Amino acid sequence: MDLDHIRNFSIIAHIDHGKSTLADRILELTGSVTARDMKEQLLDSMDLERERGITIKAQAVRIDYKARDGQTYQLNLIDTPGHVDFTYEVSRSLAACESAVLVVDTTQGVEAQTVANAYLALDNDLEIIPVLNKIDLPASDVAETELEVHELTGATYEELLTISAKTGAGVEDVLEAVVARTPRPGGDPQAPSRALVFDSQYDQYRGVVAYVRVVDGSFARHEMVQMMGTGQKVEVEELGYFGPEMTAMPRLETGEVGYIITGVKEVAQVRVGDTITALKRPAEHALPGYKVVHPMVFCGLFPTEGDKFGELRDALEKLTLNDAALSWEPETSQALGFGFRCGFLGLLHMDIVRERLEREYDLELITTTPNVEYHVFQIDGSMVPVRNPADMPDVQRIDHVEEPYVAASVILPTEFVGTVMELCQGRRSDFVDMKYLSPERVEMHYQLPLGEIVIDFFDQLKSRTRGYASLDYEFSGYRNGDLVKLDILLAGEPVDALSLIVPRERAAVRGRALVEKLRQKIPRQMFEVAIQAAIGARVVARETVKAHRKDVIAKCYGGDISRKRKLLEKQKEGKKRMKQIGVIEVPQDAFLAVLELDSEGKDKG
Amino acid sequence: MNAAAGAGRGRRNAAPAPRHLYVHVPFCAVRCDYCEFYSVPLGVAGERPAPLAPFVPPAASPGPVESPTPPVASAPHERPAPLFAPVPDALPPGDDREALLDRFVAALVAEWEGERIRLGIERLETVFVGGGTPSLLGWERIERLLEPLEPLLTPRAEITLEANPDDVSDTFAAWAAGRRLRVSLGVQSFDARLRAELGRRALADPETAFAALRRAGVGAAVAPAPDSGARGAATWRSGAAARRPGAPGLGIDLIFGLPGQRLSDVEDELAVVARLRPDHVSWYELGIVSGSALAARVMPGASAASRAAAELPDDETASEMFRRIVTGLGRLGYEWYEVSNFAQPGRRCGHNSAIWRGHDYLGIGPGAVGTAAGVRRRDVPDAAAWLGALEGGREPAREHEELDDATRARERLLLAARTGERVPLADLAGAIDEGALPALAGAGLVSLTGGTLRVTRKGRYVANGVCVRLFRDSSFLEA
Repeated sequence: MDLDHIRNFSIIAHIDHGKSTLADRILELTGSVTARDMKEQLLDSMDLERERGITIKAQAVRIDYKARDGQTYQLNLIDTPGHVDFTYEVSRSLAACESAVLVVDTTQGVEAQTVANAYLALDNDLEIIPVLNKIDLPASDVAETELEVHELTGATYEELLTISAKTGAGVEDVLEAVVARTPRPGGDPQAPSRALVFDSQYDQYRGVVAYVRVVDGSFARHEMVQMMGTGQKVEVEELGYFGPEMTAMPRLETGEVGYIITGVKEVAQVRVGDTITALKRPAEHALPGYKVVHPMVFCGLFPTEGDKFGELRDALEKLTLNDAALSWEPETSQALGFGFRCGFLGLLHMDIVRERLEREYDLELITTTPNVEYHVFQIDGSMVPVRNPADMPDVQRIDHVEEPYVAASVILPTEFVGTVMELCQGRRSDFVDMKYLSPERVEMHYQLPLGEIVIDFFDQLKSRTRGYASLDYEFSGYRNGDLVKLDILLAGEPVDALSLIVPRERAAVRGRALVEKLRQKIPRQMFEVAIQAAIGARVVARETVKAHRKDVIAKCYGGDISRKRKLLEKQKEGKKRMKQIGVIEVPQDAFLAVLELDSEGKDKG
Repeated sequence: MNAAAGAGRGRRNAAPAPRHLYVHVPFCAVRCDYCEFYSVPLGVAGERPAPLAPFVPPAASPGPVESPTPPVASAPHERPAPLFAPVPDALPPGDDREALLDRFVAALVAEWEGERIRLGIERLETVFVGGGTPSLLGWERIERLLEPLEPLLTPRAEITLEANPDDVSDTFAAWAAGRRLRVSLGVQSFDARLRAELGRRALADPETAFAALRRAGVGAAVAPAPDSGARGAATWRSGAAARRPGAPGLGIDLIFGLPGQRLSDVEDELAVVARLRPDHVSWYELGIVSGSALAARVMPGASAASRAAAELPDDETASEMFRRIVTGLGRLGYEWYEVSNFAQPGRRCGHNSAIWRGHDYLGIGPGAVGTAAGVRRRDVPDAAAWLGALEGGREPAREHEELDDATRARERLLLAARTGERVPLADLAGAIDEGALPALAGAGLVSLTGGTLRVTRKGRYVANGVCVRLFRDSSFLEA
């Protein structure tokens, strides 16, 4: 297919605005998938994605479309995630396109990720094709949404398309607009071949599948190529496109989007953002890669059973194949043994990784409370980055502590302005400004510590605004904070896995709530258990779990011995799932006890 | 009965023969609400007894309450027998209670003979006749059972018999005293109100029964004079059996933690004990067994009204009850020699003590358990089948459980935790997690001296917990 007839586009939107439905409709409409084959939202191939109704991985599909002008075009559609955690994924796939169909739900209007994704698209120099969706619903307010989208993108009213992805109304117009408005792919078919790896997927039989966009030149099967970033030389075992199934081809040409399989099994050797070039005539410069994303939220992941450490490590390695944003490094906890400190883009990312580990790799895990990375400046002038609260240096050595701040934007209906202000006030935030997107909707900007968002800000925001508010945030630097380490001691010994870093003003309250919560979660033992919260040497809260006074006093004559022995053996088995900390048996969910408390330290119940 | 003489000779070259015998008499008048044992309700004397239905045990997995297993249909009737109630059906013709019990004792003797020869038993130190309600057999039948054992009994042999107050007549008491038996009287509670809560059928007042036994001289240090006692006993005494010094005693079985029982009730119970001064007291906590009538009343699923009425003491109260029992009996001079067993000096139950020390013993009767040469076996708890086999000249069906070294070590620990016996750590090696010892010792639950382990009195209260802590994680065993 010549470059003039290739169009590479993406669909971007806020979560649930209908981009996946639109993708489904497009596939159906163009005959890429028969209605019979159509499973709702086909492109979300991971079970987890379908379950949660969200897209995690970007997928790429080639569609042959006969336009109204009679010509056939090759449209390459790339589906993208819509959650703030996965901005990174979005920007990767946008680098492979020339235009972005921006879908906005007319019953919701412009929301936080609508804005964020629109800016991402602009950053990547994409043509934006705004589409107003869900016009079939009674609550649809096209006029209002038109206003907002116009404000956001500068698009004229004629350029705005109105559709219903669900019913299919207007979808063909979208394809026409893609054909008409998307620039032809840049790139030189005669230049030395270059392909950008914008994603990868690990297949256990075939190795790493690289998702590529051919920028210059072309590639052929059995050709020898080189990964410009790693220097590795490999043979192209297979290449082709997604139709949506993998369809092998003899060649991939300039401007096309598809996959390359090189037989490489090692994840690290196929880096997303890398450039593939032909060995016979290699390119001089690699394509610009991506900026390295920084993980924002951290937690400790430990296998419940110590001997599963190796399995956890293998699983994390495999996950990183398809998730370059996941970072991990080994960590040792006195309480929990050997595990990993993992970094995520956000809480949803963390949740999903954890679920994938448990489900796909069949691992039982203990997760510690999520936290952010603090910068601790010591008296001697050095700075220690702290990703695990237990690593916080002693108080005497600390000069000051800095924590990451974010610039948060909340988009909400005007009626909730007061509520959101109240919510943010309790989070050590600084109000920046407020902008009206329309008479009904407002965008509020705050600067606040990421640590205040990490636990439950999003949930609180949604519940207090009945789901109407949306949140986007971006890292905005480190700022000084009056923060202290809150230690939890069981039977007088500090338990590193339970430590928290909290603002000093709230330390006592948090300490008392946490200690009480733990008292509820830790079962009675053969010894009395003292639970304490302390800041340095100062105890701020204390509770006691009373000792178990007696077992059931049962008879044990000859005929009872086997039964009793089996009962005790079974109880022993049951204890395996507990963690032994010193002499105390602590159930796994005690480590997440803090999540059951809100930021004021009150029990969420 | 086929005498396996060759087997007997071979047996002598293997492990030494057991020196203790347990006899299980599964019959009861009716089943108590809380009973979890194999028991065959016969109906009240004078009424038609129930046919022998196969026993369906409570759900196999241990735990406080599990869902009850469905009942098994009893042959020859098609209808499944209710799990825990007498089956009021017609009997096979020719059967009645007395004949049934006669046949039962005859079969017991037959089983004994077969096992004596097979195992090469030459001496018996203890005999324990338990149940059910062994006293239902009546003293004459029990005598027929004990007679064949006579030649093997050691001079100080202990013979224990469980008895219900209903079966204690003066004749019975005189016989028991003359026979120098250890009698274990099933009291459960001296308070009639609390007994009723258990569905305990015993109509006779336990105090009265106890007094009768004492009056006749049961448990007395010296054998009663030949001319005292009732006529029936005199008949017996005129028999040829040599009088043995024996190891007599009069003990009672009590239960605490009963529905509606308060701390003051336990104090009252202790006061009665103080007054009566039994030689031995077994005092257990009420356990709610799934499938029992009591469970139906108190467990989730039961009506709220019946559960409220049940009023089981809470954890704190039950703990306090037990603490008072231990200290109260201690003050009365009883030695707390096992978690739920207390004895005046020299009056411990030798049979149980032997079992708790891991000695081999033979069990006969349907549902009876015995352990010998590393194998635990149990006569299948089906009285009808058991009877049929023995009357047909065959051995009854039995289940076997092989006990490997690690299992035996765990059992050793389990029993030693209950008795406070000192066990060499070497005997437990490989079965316990020695890393757990310091913490337990630090908390005063175990005492470690000279390479031995002993669970302290404090530890005895939480003996189960100590064992669970010490049991080696099975995953290590597989590694």
